[in-house]
Amino acid sequence: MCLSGRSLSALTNASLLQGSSSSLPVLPYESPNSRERLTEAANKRERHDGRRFEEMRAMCMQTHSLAAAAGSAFVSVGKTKLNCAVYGPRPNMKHASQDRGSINLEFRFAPFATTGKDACSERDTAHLTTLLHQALNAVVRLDLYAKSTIAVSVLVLEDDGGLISAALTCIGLALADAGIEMLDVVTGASACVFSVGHPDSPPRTCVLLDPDAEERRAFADKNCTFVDLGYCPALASVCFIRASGTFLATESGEQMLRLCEAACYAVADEVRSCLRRSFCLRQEEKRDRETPQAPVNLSPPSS
Amino acid sequence: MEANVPSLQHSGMPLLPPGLQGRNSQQGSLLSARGSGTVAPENPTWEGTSAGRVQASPAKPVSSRSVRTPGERLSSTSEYACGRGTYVKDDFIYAAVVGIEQIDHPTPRGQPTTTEGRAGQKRAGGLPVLSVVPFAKSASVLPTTGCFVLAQVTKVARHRVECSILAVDGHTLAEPFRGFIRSQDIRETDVDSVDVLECFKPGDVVRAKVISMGDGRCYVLSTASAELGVLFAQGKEGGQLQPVTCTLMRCDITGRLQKRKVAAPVLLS
Repeated sequence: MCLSGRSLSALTNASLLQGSSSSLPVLPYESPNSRERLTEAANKRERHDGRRFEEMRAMCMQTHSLAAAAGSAFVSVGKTKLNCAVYGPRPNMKHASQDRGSINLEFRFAPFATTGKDACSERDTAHLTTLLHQALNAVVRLDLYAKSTIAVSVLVLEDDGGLISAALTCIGLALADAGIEMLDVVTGASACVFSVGHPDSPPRTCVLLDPDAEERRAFADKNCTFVDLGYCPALASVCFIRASGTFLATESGEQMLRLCEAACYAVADEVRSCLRRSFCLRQEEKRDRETPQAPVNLSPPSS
Repeated sequence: MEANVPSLQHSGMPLLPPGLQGRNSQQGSLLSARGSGTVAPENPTWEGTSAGRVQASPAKPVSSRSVRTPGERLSSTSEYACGRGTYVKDDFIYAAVVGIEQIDHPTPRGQPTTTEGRAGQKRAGGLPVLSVVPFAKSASVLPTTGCFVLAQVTKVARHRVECSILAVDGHTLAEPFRGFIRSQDIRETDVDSVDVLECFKPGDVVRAKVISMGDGRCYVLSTASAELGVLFAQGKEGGQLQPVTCTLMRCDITGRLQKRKVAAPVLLS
C-alpha cells in the first residue's frame, strides 16, 4: 500500500515546536466533557482544547534519556508520555541457527498511567505488542544482526490518547539513538472521523487529527472511525495501520489517511532534527573532553 | 553558549533551560525546511545533498547539516559504492544510521605501461565508497568473521574450549556472546598432538580470531597464530601468571611453571 505525496498544506509545523520538556502538561485530567458539548463545539469547528481540526498536540522529543540503555528516547504528545529503551544487540539464547536477528518488544503501562475508569487490560497489551512487533520487523535491517536479539522496552508514563502513534515515534527514535540500522525513521499519527448534524440538517462528517482521550471517549460509538497509522516518510510506505469503524471506505476515510500521512511527514522532520541535534551535542561533549589535553602537547615543542 | 549545554548523560530526564529551548526551536525550524525537501519522494534532491558532504575529516567541528538520519537519500549507485551504514534501494543509496557522511576514494596505482597496467588502472579507478559513520559509543558491535576478540574461557572439554566473548576489536560488548575453540584450531603446528588441558584453563583471558559464524548459537574461534592465545591467567593459589615462553607461564606466588598457549606480545604502533 503506497499513499500519494503530501496533499494537505494546511498542516502547520508551529504547533510541533511549541512543546518542550520544561512545559509538559501533567495529570490530573480536567473534568470530562460530554458528547453533546463536544458535538456542539464541533459544529462551530472548534475543539475543547482550542485546537483546529487538523492540528496536532504539542510534541516534545528527547533522545538519550536513559544512561544504562544503548539507546533511549522520551516522547510526549500532549499529556501522553512514553519512555523507550533499547538494549542490544545482545546474544540470543533461545533460538539456534539464526541467520537474522530478532526484536523482543516489551510494552508496559505504569500503574499511574491512566485514570481508574479505563485501566488497560493485559490482553490488549499483548495484542498491541504483536502489532508493533510486526511494524518494527519491516523497518529494522535484521539481516545484519545474526545470532542477536534487540530488546525494546516501552513504558507508558501517561496515557491521554494517541498511544500507538506516539509509541511508534518513540521506538523509532530509540532505535536510531542506539545505532541500529534501519531503512527509515518510523513515525506515527492518529485521526478520527465522526458525523455530526442536527435533526433538521443533513449529517456532516468531521475529520480530527490526533484525538485525545476525551474525544475518543466522547465519540466512541458506531458512527465514529479511529485510525492509527505508522508511516515511513522516505520510503513512502505504511508500516502499521489499525482502524475501527465504518468510515474507512468513504471519502472521509481517504481524507483521514491523507491527513495522517501529512502529519507523519511533519513528525519525521522533527524526528530528524532531534536526532541531528543529539548527535551534535554528543560530538561536542566528546570534543570538550579531549580538548583539555591539547595544551599539554604544546609544551614539548617550546622547551 | 556551548558551556551552558547540559549533559545528556543523566539517568533522569533533564529539564532544558530557556536558552537551549530557544536554540533548539531555531534549529528545528531551520532543519524542517531542509528536511521537507530531502524526504519528499516527488522532489528527489540527492544531487543537492552533495554540497553538505564531509570529506573524511573527523577533526572538523560537526555542523548539524552534515549529520544523516535513517532514510535520507544520499546519492546514486552510478556515482558511489554502498559502504557501511548505508543500503541500496532502486539505484539510490540511503542512510541507515545516524552519523556523518564519509567518502573513501580508492588509492590510485602506478602509471600504466602495458595492457595489464591499463586494465589495472581501470579496476583501480572504481567508484568511491560512501559510508555513514555513527557515533563511536552508540555503534552496535557484533563479532564478524575475521575480527579479533577478547574472550574468557568458561569450559574446557576434550575437543573444544568454550569461551565468552567479552570484546570485539577493542569495543567492549554489553553482554558476552558465546564462542568455542576447536582442538585443531589451537596451534599452527602439531595439530593432531594438541592437548587441550595443557593450553587453556577456565578463567583465562584469551585473544582469539573469529573464523566462522558457526551453525548454532556459538561463534567458532581460533588461536592458531603466534599473537593469539592466553593473555591473562591465574594460578591455583590465586597468583598472577607471567608469560615465560610460548608454552609456559610462571606463577608469581609459588614460582611454579604451568603450561599455556601463550600469546606473543603485539607491539602497539
